[in-house]
Amino acid sequence: MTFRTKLSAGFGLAVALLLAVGVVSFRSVLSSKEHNRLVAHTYEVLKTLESVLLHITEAESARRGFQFTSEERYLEKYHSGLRALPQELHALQRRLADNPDQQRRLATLAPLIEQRLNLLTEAIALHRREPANNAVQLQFTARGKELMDQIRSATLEMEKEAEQLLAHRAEAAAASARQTEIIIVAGTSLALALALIAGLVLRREMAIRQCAEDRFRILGERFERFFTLSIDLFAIAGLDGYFKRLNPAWEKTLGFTNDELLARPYLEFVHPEDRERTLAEAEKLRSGSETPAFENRYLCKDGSYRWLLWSARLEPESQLIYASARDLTERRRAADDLAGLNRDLQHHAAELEASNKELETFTYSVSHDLRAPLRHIDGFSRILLEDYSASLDPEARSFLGRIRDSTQHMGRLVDDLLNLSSIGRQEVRPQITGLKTLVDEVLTGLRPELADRAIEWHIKDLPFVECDPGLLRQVFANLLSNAVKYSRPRDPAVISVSVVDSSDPPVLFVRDNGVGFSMKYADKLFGVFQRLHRQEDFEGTGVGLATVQRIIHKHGGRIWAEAELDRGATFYFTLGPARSQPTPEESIQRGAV
Amino acid sequence: MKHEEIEILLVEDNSSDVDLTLHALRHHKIANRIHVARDGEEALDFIFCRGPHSTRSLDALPRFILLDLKLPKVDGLEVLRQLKSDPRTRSIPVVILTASREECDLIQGYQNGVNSYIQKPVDFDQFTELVKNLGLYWLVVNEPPPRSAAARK
Repeated sequence: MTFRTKLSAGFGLAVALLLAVGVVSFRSVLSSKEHNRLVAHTYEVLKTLESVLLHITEAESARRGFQFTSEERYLEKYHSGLRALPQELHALQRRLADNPDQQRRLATLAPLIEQRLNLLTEAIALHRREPANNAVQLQFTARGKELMDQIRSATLEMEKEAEQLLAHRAEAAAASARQTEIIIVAGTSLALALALIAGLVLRREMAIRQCAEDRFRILGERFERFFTLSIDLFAIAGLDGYFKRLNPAWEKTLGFTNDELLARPYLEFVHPEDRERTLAEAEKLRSGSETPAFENRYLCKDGSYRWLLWSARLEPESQLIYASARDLTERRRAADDLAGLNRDLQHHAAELEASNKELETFTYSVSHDLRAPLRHIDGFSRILLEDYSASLDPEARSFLGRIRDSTQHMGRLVDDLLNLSSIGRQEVRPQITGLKTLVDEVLTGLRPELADRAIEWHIKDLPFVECDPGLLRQVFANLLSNAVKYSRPRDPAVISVSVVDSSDPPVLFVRDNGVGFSMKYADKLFGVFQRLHRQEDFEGTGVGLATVQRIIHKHGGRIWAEAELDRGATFYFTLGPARSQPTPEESIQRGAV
Repeated sequence: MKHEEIEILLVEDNSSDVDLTLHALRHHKIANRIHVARDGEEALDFIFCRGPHSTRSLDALPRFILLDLKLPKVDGLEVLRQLKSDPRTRSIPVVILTASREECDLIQGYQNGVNSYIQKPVDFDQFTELVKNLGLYWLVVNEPPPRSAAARK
């Protein structure tokens, strides 16, 4: 049962109850009226009965008066009673028509009254005839008293009956009145209770309804607020091709007023190139499919176009398209910029590649072309010295010797530079390499330089590492030949090649007790052509350590040096990125004891 | 021998290099019969007896060839390729003597069948020593292919 039918039933019941109470009350009033009538009727009967008795008694009194006085005027009451009594009897007859018991009693009473009257009449008549005949009169009196007693008895009976009836009726009327009272009070109370309950229920229902309405109103207000606030564009459009409602973001984005946008079919604002696609999309929407992401261009007031990304759906009940759009113009512009940057980058990359190629070509021609004249200078100087020695004085021969030294030095410079550049372009090809063997090989290669030298070698604990053996050979060749070179003034020179204890990745080092250098210049150590010693003291191109550093960096490692002037130098290096926490410096402090 | 046999074909465009190489060879009295070609085309004409050398016989092949790489007209690698792809000239030992030590040159040289690859040192003493050794090796130590080898092929 719904709430509404429940409520109606409740009210219906209350009304029915009240109706019933009304009917009962009405009937009670009717019955009370009838009862009153009956009571009056009974009183009437009683009164008549009394009047009958009175008239008879008065007639008797009249006779007695007449008998004593013989004056006719005493008979007046007799005559009036004689006249009234038949009427009264007739009235009783009529009033008791509905009561057979009383009628039966009346039937007994009426003849007695008639006999009594007849007796009176006879006595009066006798007195007129024989006024002194008291004996007969006494007979009449006795007889009259007898009759009178009978009449009284009959009347009394009738009165008793009437009074009983009266009491009975009064009792019935009281019972009915009580019943009516109960019905009225109970019925009314019940009806009131029902009405009260229904009223409470109604009130509660109304409160709930009010609450729902409030919520709906708040939701509506919120929707309005968002609709107004949104940066995105919201639109409700009809299938007739017109916008029906737009949020203020439209005006802000396109510059057209709301009215301008609603006045024309929206397709007129779409970029001509996008119209066909837009129509197709609208058609899809009409057939019920959703538009999750659709892009087209919309006209702005200033004549430009802005890219909008759409999400839309048809609301089938109202046949309206609900759509949300986002201004993608800036994003697309950014994407275009990015594409432009990418193109630039690609262009630069291509340029870089070209310049790399150029550099390679340059290197190639340097190696081929630059060395050639040097060779020629050296060659012809040599030939001069050899074949024309006799015609040259000693100074000229010395100059030729200096020319040859210079050309050869330049030759080495070119070779070292070429080597450095080729390492830059070369790929590292790592393999597991035993460093002990590698160092031994390098020492073998250094043998010419080691002649006539007293050197104490401490080569120990060299590990196997993953590296490009060809490149690492160059590292050790440079570091060891440097150590040999700069320890030349020492006798004996002490050169150590080893690894710092428990370093991970291993920190390798080459240490000599040579001339060392001031740490002031440590930052210049690995620069190309940077030298810390004069050419006359220690020959060199200034490319060796730069080459070493480049190789170490290509392995992902790092190289650094510690030295003191005249107290030797130590070069440390790793062959991979640091893995553990302790810094190389800490490791050295621990390992360099 | 009807024709005077050419012992060494020197293919070199730079006159200084030619002079120095010849000087080194003569200094050590390695060879007397040396022909110099100044570019790749001339070298090929000489070997295949074409153009100005059409009167020469193809039988008279040089004992070995000293080949520079960077040459006018036809470069050294192309000369090498043609020599090594012709059955008549394939067996001539070819030594590349160049300033370049570029990896790609080395790879291409060996892929085209060069017999030896040497970079010219700047030091002339070293160069002289090297040329002497080369001459001794290819003309004296090394056993050449039989004369008829090319013809048979």
